[in-house]
Amino acid sequence: MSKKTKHNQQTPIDLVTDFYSQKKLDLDQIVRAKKASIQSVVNYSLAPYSGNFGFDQKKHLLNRTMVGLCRRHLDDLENLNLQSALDLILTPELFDEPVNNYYHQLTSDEYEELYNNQDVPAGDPFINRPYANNSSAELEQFGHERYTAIVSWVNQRIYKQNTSIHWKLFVFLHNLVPTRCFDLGHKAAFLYIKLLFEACFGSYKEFIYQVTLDPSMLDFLNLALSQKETPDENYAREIQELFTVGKRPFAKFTEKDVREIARALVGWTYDYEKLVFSEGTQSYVNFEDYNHDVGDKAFSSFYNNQTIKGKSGVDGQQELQEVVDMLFRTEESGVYLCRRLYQFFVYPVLTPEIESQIITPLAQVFRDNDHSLVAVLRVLLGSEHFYDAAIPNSIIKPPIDYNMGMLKELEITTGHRSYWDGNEVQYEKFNPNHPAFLEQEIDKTTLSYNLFGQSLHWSSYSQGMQLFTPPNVSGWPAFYQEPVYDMFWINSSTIKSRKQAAHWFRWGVWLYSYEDQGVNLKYDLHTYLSSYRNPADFEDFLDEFNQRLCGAAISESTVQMLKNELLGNLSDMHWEEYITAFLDNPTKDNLSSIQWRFDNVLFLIFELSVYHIH
Amino acid sequence: MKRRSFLHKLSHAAAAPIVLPSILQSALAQNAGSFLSNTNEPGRILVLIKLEGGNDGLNTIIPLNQLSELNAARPHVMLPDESIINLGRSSLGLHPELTGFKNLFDEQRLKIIQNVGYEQPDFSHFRSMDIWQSASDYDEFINSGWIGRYLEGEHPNWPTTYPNENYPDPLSIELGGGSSILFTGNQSFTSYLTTNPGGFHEDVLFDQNANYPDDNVGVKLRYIDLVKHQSNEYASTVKSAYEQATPTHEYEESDFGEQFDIMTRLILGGLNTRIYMVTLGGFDTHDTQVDLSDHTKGEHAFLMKELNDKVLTFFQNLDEAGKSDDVLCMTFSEFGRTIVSNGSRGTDHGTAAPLFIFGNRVNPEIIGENPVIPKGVRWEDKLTPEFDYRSIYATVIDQWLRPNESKSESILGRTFDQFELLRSDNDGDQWILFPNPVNDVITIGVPKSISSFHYQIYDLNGRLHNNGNATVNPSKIFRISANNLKMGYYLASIRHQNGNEVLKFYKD
Repeated sequence: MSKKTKHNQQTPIDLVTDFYSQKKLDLDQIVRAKKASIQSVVNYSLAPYSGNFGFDQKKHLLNRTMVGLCRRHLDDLENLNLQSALDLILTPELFDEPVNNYYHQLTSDEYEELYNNQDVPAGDPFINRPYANNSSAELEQFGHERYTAIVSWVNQRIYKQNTSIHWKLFVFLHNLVPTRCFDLGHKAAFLYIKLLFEACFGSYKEFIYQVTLDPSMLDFLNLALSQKETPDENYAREIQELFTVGKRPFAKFTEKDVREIARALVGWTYDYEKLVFSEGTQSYVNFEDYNHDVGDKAFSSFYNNQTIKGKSGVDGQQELQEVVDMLFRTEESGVYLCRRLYQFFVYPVLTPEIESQIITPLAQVFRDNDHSLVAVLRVLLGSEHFYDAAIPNSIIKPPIDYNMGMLKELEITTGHRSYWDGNEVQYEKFNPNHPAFLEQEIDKTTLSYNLFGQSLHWSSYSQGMQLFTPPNVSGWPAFYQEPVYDMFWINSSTIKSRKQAAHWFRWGVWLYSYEDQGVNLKYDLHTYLSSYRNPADFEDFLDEFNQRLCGAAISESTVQMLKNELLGNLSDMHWEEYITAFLDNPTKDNLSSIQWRFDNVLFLIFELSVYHIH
Repeated sequence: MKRRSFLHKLSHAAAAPIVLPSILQSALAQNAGSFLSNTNEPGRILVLIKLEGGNDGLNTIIPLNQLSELNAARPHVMLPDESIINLGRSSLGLHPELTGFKNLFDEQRLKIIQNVGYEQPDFSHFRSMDIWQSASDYDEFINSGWIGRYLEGEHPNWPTTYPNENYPDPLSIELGGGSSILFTGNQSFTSYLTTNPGGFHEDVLFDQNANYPDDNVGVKLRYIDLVKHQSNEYASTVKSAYEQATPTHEYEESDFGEQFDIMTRLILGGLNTRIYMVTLGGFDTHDTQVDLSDHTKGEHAFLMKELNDKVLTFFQNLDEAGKSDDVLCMTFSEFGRTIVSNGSRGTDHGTAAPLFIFGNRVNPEIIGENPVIPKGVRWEDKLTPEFDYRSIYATVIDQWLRPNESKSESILGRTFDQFELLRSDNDGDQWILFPNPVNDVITIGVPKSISSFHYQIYDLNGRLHNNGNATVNPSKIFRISANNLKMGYYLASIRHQNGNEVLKFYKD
C-alpha cells in the first residue's frame, strides 16, 4: 500500500488561509495550527480587567451579551464601572407566557369551527388549556396560529430585553442542547423554552438531568421509544458527545459506554395523552419500570471503571441521576462546557494558550460553583483577555443578532404607521382621527403576530438560523464547524437574505394588507434622527452610527458614495435646511422631502460589511 | 535479442518514460468525451445526492439469498418477501418503492456498488459525514472537502478572478442546505448556493475601496465582501439560465423536488456549472423506520420514493432535452445501519452500505459481493465494508470529471483501486489501462472485438515480471494483480488476434 501523500501545507498568512491548512493531524496539532488565527492576541489572563472601561469596552461587552446591540443598552452602561455593568448584565429576567395575539387571523368562532375546541379570549394565555380530545386534536396542537403566537412571544421578549444576558444565554443553551421543540405541539415547545430559560442562571448539571426528561428531548433523540431488549443509543451518545464531555478523541468514552448509558436510561418516556389533553403544565414524564434494563452497567476507564447497579421497579429511575453524576465527575465535562461558552461568547478558535490559561481555570470555576454558567461568564467577561484588542468585532453576527439589532436600534414598535385606504397612503401622525387607528388593538396584535411571529421568523430561516428548528442535534454549524465557524453565516444565499431584512426599513413592514386597506409600519424617523448629536450633518451622522454600531471604519469613498446617494442634486446646505425644518416641525411636507432619501441610504448602511460583525 | 525488440517497441511509443502519462493521455483523449477546459461550452456534469442520516442499505438493496437470516435479524423493519422487487441479477432485490431504479437498471443506467464504507467506521453523524466529505481516514482531520480541493486544483486563481470570460458560471451549485464542508477548499468556499434563482435580484452593496486591516476583523470583512461580489455576479448569470427552460416532466412537490426542479432548469437552461449537490434528509431512522402494520410503508419508504421519483423524473427531463449523456449522479450517505433492528421499529448507526451511480453510459456490472448476515448475529455486529468510499471518488474523478488525467491521487491523498465506470463501447479499438498510477490491481479495458490476449509485464530494464493469457468476459475488463511489482514504471505488452499493444503505467 502506498504511503499517504501529504497535501500541500500552506504557510499561515491570515486567518482564512490557516483555516484550510491540510495536514494529517491529531487534535493538538489542529489547535497548534490555528494559533496563527489569533496571532494578535496579547493577553491571555483571566485576571480582572483593570484597564479603561470606556465606550469601546462597553460596546464590546454589550455586543457579545445582548441579542442585538442598540442605543438603549449603551445608555444603560453609561455611568457604570465594569463590576456594576456585569452586575446589571448578569441579572435574570422575568418569565411569562404567550397570549392569544392571533385573533385577527382567526376569530374565536373560526377557531372553534376549525379545531373543535373553545379558544381563549384575545390577549389571554392559552398554554395551560387542554386540547379537545377529538378528531381535531392533532390539528389543534400543531395549529399554525398558536405556533406563531409562541414564536412571536419569544421574539418580542428578546426585542424588549433588559440590558441582561439572559436571552443570549437562552440562545446559547438552545444551540448547545437543541430540540425541534414544536414536533410534539405547542405545549411541549413551551415546556422546553421554559426549561431553558430557567436553566440559564442555574446549575448546568441540574439542567442536563431535567432536559433528559423534557418531552421534546425524549422524542427528538428517541429515548421515549427505546426498548430494553435493544436500547436505543441516540440519546446515550449525544448526552456525552454534545452535551457534557465532548467528542472523541478528547473525551475517551467508548462505544460500550454508549450502550451502557442507553441501558441505564431505557424506561423513561412521556405521556402523550396527558401532555396534550390535560390542563396545566405539570410533569408528563413516566418511568416504565417494566421496560427498564435492571442489569448492572459497567463503564470504561474514562469513567473510572464505575459500575451503576441495576435497579428494578421505581428505583430504576435513580440510575439517571447516577449517570449524570458520573458524567460531571469527569474533568472533561468542565472543560467541554467552558470551551463552548468561550467559543460562543468570545472567539470560536481555540489555541493552546487559550486552553491552558483560560479554559482550564474556567473549568475549575465551573466545578467550584455547582456548574454555574453565569459564574464562569462573570470571570470571563470581566477578564483582561476578553478586552484584548484582538477580540472585539472579530465575529460575524448570527442572524438573530443582525435582525434584532436593526429592529431594536430603530425602535420599530414605536414606529410610524401609515394607513392604506385602497387609494392613498395616509400617515397616522397627520390624521390621528382616521377610523383605522381607532381600532388600536388591530395594530398591536398584527404588529406582534406579523412582524415578530412571521416576518422575523422567516427572515431568520433564510439567513440560516431559525429558532426552534435547528438543523440537527449539533445545533447550528456556525457555532461548531471547523474551520469556518461564524463565516458559515455568510454565503451567496444568506447574504441576499440579510440584504432583504434591511429592506424592512426602506419599504416598511406591512402589518396587514388587503385590497382596500392596510397598515404599514416604519421606524419613526423624527425620533431616530433626534437621538443623534448632529443629525443635520450627514457625515457626522454616519460617523456617529459607525462608532456606535459598526465593527470597523467606513472608507472615505463609501462615505461619499452614500452621501451622493442621499443628496442627489441637493447641496449640503439644502439638506441641512430640510433636516432642521423637519426636526423642528415634523409635518407631512417636511417629512416627504427627506423620507425616501434617508430610507434608501439607511438600508445601504445596514448592508455594509462593517455592520455585520460584532 | 529480446531487449532489442523491446526497445524497438518502445520507439513506437516515442516518449521518454518520465513523460509517462501523456502517451496514454493523447491516445485516449480523443475517446474520452469532452472534459473541456472552460465552461463556455457544455461538458460533463456530476450530481451528488446526499442522503443525510445514514441510509439503511439492507432495506434498500436486499440480498435475496438471505431472506430468512434477514427476517430473523431484523424482524421489526424487514420488508415482506413478496414486496421486494427482484433486480434480476446477483440475487439482489430492491425496496418496493424503487420501481424507477429497476427501470434504470434494466436500461443499463444504474450502477450499484455494495458494501461501501471505510476502515474503523465512526458512528457519529457529524464525524462520519465529515469523513465522507473530506475524504479522510478515520483518524485524519481534514478541514476541506474533496470537491472543494478538486475545484481549487482546476482553478488555482479561485476565487479572486472569478467569474471571468472562460468561466462565467458558478463552479458548483448546492441546492439543499447550507455551505457544507464538501465544497470547502483550501482557500474558500467553492460553491454557489441558491434557493430561489428566479426571484427578484438586486446587487448586495459592498465597500469597493475598503482597506481592511490584516487582523481577525479584517479577515472577516474581506470574506464578507468576497461573498457579496460573487453573489452579485453569479445571481444574474444563474437567473438567466433558470428562466430559459421549463422541465416537461414535473417534480412532485417537496423540498427535494424543488431542488431537482431548480437543477433541471439550470441544466436545460444552458448553465455550464459542472457540479451540483442536492440533499435528502431524514435517513436517521432510529425508530418508526417502517409502519407497524405494513413494513412497506413508513419513514424509510417515504424517502425511497422521494429518491426514486426525483431521479427518474430527472433522467426523463434530461433524455427529452438530449442532455442525459452528459450527466452522472452519485448518492452518498455517512454510513449504513445496523443489521439487527431495535425494538422501536428502527435501526441504529451501522457501517457499510450500497452506493448508486446513475448515467447513460455506466458499466452496469454490480460491484461487490452480497452482504452476508453472520450466523447468530448480535446487536453489535455490523456489515464489513468491502470498498473504501474513496475508490468511488477516485473512479469518478479519473474516469468522469477528468478522464485519464490521474488527478485523484493529489485530491484524495493517495491512490485507490478503481472500477470501470463507463461501458467501454468504443468506436475504435481502444485499450485502456487504469488506474494510473496503479495500486494493487491493474484494470484493462479491452476493445469490443477482442476476446482473448496474452500479456507480459516488463519493467524498463526489460525484466519480465508478470505474464499470462487472458480470456475476456462480456464486461470487457480484465484485471491483473500488481501486488508483486515494486515502485516504478512498467510496460504491459499485449499480443492479441489483431496485433500488438503497449500500455505504460507507473506502480505506486
